[in-house]
Amino acid sequence: MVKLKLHGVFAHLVGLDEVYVEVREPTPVNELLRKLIPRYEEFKTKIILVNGKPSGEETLVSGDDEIKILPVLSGG
Amino acid sequence: MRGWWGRILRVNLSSGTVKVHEYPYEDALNFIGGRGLAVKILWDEVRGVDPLGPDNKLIFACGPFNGLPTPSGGKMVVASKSPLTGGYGDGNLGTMASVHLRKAGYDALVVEGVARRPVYIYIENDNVSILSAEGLWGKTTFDTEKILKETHGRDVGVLSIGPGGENLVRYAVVISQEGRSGGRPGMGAVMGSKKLKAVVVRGTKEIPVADKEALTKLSQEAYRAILNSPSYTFWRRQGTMAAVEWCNENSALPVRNFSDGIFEFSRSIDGYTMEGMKIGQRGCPYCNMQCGNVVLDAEARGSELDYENVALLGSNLGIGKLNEVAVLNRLADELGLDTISLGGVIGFVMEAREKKLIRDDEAPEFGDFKKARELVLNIAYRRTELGRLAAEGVMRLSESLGGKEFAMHVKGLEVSGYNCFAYPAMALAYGTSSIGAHHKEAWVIAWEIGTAPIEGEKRKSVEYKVTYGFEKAAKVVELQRLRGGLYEILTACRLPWVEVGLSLEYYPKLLEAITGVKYAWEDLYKVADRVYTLIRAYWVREFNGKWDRTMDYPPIRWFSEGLKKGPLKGQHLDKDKYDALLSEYYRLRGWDERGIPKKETLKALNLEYVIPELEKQVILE
Repeated sequence: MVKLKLHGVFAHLVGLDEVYVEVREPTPVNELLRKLIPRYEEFKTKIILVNGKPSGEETLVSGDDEIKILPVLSGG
Repeated sequence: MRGWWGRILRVNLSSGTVKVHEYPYEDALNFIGGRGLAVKILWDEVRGVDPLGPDNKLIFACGPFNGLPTPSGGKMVVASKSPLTGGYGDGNLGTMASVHLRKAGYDALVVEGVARRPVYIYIENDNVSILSAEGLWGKTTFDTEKILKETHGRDVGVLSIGPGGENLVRYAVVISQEGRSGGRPGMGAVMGSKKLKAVVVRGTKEIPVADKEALTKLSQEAYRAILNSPSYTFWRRQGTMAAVEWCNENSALPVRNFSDGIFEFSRSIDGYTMEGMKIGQRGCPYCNMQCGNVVLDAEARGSELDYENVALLGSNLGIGKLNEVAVLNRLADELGLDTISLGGVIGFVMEAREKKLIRDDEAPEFGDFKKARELVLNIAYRRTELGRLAAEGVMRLSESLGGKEFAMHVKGLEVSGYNCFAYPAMALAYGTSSIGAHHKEAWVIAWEIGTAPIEGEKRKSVEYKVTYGFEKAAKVVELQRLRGGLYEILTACRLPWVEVGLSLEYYPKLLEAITGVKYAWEDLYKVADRVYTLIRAYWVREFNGKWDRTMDYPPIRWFSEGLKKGPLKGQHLDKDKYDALLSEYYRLRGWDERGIPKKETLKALNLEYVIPELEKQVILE
């Protein structure tokens, strides 16, 4: 199962901070996120980490990959 | 002139005189307002003076946005030569004083000289009085504002200092509305040195606007865009407090005097914990995304929290209870101390105690809330030997006690809430910020962590954040132009853009509607570069030309130690690579290898008048 960890506003929008998804074949990460997160397309910037590495929206995920998505903040 | 009044109010406290200075339209066009106006005044009028002496000037500067319905445009800049760093110092705060000062018919207030006895300034449009503040001296900022509003009515803006400013604590700030503070590099101490307890303003004039209809339409659109943002609801829940979790996740939280980036008790001081304690929400004028979260502190008083307060007075001190952190924060606001520098100073004292540089039992150890609380009071009132020493800031503390290897400051200003062992661009942003180690001008860390353009194999093979590609220097300059430039000269809050994604395109349009002047982006960048370069020239001049690139180095700790735990364990900055990045930054800015603006750069930015003055001290390239 692919594990999705959601932070900040993304956890707020989904209503959960951790989600497990069965991914049968390698799928671009943004496809998963688009299905899961309401209004996902409106976020021009976000931080996506796949297995701890900074990744783009097209990165393919499958198996036991761990995805983390964080918002871009401004810092006080 | 539309949008600007072209008028600066000047109050001299030594002579008791009040003047209105009409400044040239050209200055308005070239510097726009806020920190632009402030640095022009400091360059022209404040040379080689003692920051706490009578010849320093305290400037409250607004910009064209202020006093008008613009998105989060209720800010003002407070600036002077800094008693903490000896260079240019400023900060911004959201306050009704900004709205009223503009409606009273002024773009800025400049306070000169020193009063013989404590006073406050009362401004009501064209009538300006210097009144006795004998009965207010010694009072907290909260009590001072309350009393002044009982005297002058609620429909005023109030700026005041607390005991911290009165006692010349070098990182005392100016406070308004119980928690809005500005002027980290000691602008509150400058105000105290002038025996000026407060400024009270009431303005009722109509600000001349070029195209009122366009302004209303654009503002309404922008306010609506903010409300409709997908980030809005969560922002209202946590505001900047969401950054506690975020920084902890990225090993960027300041923990125990910046010795580590992950805090074991982060959950108990983060935005979610704060939500459970929230009793109210406050903010700045003209803002529809207010970020001041008020919680009940451990002494049953309201305390307005944001990320910086909690990072520096919480994890940085090893304190993991949010209601105790809230006490320290509220005391700092009441006493008029900068929460960031205060957290930096106490964190340094705690580590000095741990390393046995201080044997004094008064010094708190990491996690000791009670002694930290006592130390806050001792600093504000300068009432013990340790309190007096700590009131001088981390740089001077480390010079007298030792411990330079863990002194977390740049140019004398304590580091704000981002730990940069693994973030070279953010370290560069701190190194080159125009006031010392502050994040407001180029908060590049989020871009550096995950949004930087990295493709293909490079992404797989390298942790981008710990690389030193030259595009990082370019990003720092770009952000400094927007955050340290545009927003600080307008003067408006950057959070609508960065936090909820308001389009930047609104800003030049709003500026045109207000002033009738069309600024293309390249014009705005040029103003921003002019302001940034003049600030750099000011530093060089006030340091008598004794200036080299080491002034732009981040704290030694980020080079010499590593993160202690987490996925980035062992990571630290590389000195040679940082130097190369810094050289690229200078190249982009048109400054030489010492970090001093080149002649051709000064000419291109219409700052020719700077050249002969700087040439008295240094040879310019």
